[in-house]
Amino acid sequence: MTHILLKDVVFSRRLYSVAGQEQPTKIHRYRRILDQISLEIADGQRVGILGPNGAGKTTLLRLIAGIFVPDEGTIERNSDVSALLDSGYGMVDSLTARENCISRLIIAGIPKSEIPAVVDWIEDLTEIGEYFDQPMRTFSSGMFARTIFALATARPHEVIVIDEGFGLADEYFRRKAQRVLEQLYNDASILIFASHNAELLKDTCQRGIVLKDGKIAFDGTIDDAIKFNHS
Amino acid sequence: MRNKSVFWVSLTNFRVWTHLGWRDLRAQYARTKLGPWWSATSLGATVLGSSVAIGLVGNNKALTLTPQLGIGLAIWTLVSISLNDGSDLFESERGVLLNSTIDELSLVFRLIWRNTIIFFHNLPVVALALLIGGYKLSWHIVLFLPLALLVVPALVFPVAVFARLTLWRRDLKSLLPSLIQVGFFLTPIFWSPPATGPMKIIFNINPIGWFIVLTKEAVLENHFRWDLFTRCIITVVVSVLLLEILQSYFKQIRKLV
Repeated sequence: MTHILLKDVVFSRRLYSVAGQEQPTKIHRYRRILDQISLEIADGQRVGILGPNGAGKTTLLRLIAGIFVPDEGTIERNSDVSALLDSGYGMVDSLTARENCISRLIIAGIPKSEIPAVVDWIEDLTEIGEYFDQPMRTFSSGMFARTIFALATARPHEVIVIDEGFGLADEYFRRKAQRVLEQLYNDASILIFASHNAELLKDTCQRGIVLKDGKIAFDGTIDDAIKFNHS
Repeated sequence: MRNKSVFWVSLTNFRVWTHLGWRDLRAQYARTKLGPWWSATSLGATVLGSSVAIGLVGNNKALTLTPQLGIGLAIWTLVSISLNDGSDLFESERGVLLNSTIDELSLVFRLIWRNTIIFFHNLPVVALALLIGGYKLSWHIVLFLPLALLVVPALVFPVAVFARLTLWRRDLKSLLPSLIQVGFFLTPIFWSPPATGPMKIIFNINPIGWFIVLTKEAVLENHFRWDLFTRCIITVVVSVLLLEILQSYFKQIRKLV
């Protein structure tokens, strides 16, 4: 059974000196973004992460995905975690969509033999025709968004952490993409979704966690978490 | 992961860094006709131009220095471009570092691999420089490639350190090209290390010079310097060991980008 377990996780970031402003003292040079976070997420759970900007939502997702390493505490995960955060990362606009997709799939560790089929799937989903083999600098923002969406959702994932910035492109594509997302969510054992969008969280998640100042301020049903977040 | 050698982990991730290295070159030269051969053209012009200029200033035959310069500049270019690119490495890969679990040193390997491919494109220039300079062909020529490439594993540590240092103090990025320029003059590319004097001391503390002189003397003078070879091997071993010792220093990279 897939599960994720965080025990007393602490994560700090350095505060930088800014010209013309009061300089952080040695003691205050590091700020705890997440402070003593303990959390268990079991198989089958869909968890919404709420909280004001700067509460540590994206940092928590990055820790769960293994992108950041905690300063203190431990994180157990018995499955690879797929992070759908800023899905446009690593795209080079002088290369074609096909070349960019292949690169991203290689970075993600997809076996060479599986890559052609995945790229074909992406090409079909994007519906951008011959542009798929054109440099991405020639793309409209909609074509770019379609490509990165298709790339991010091309394979089923056991555990998905997803940030609200994950875009769905234009209106026509939005409906098509919604079906793909629903399938992706259904196939995942665990879904962790950080967002400010209460309706979206209600539709997707059952459990809600509210972060405030780097600590878990509330953990319960998504409806109660949304109420708590607005209180 | 923590108990494994960071060097080994990144090395075995070769599928990723070799692919990304090639991709970088395709992207860099996407709209050019010559591609990486531009680098070879530029190196050829530098070798020829410098050789003529130094020959004229020193009242020597203009092209006698081309073999020395060809070998020296080919290795120096690999080193200097890698260090220069390293100063911007992690910042330019911010998106990849914050959205994927790729290990940081793989990005260093990718950078060095990319510049090693360019080095291979420079080989015809070295051959041409040897030909123009009247090099008498001997079996020692086969030593060129293995000795020159000995510098590649030694580069991982300094490039990683430069990349990490410029994250910590971004203004170092502006200073680095000047330091590399000074390093060029202090490295025996167009001069040979003397037996005594301050330049001998400088040579003795400049590892890049060891790799260059070892290669130059082996190929051009049929003289294999075991003392320099030992120093170069020690440099490679120390570089890898320092990476292992300082691995916690590199683990902070994602926090700083």
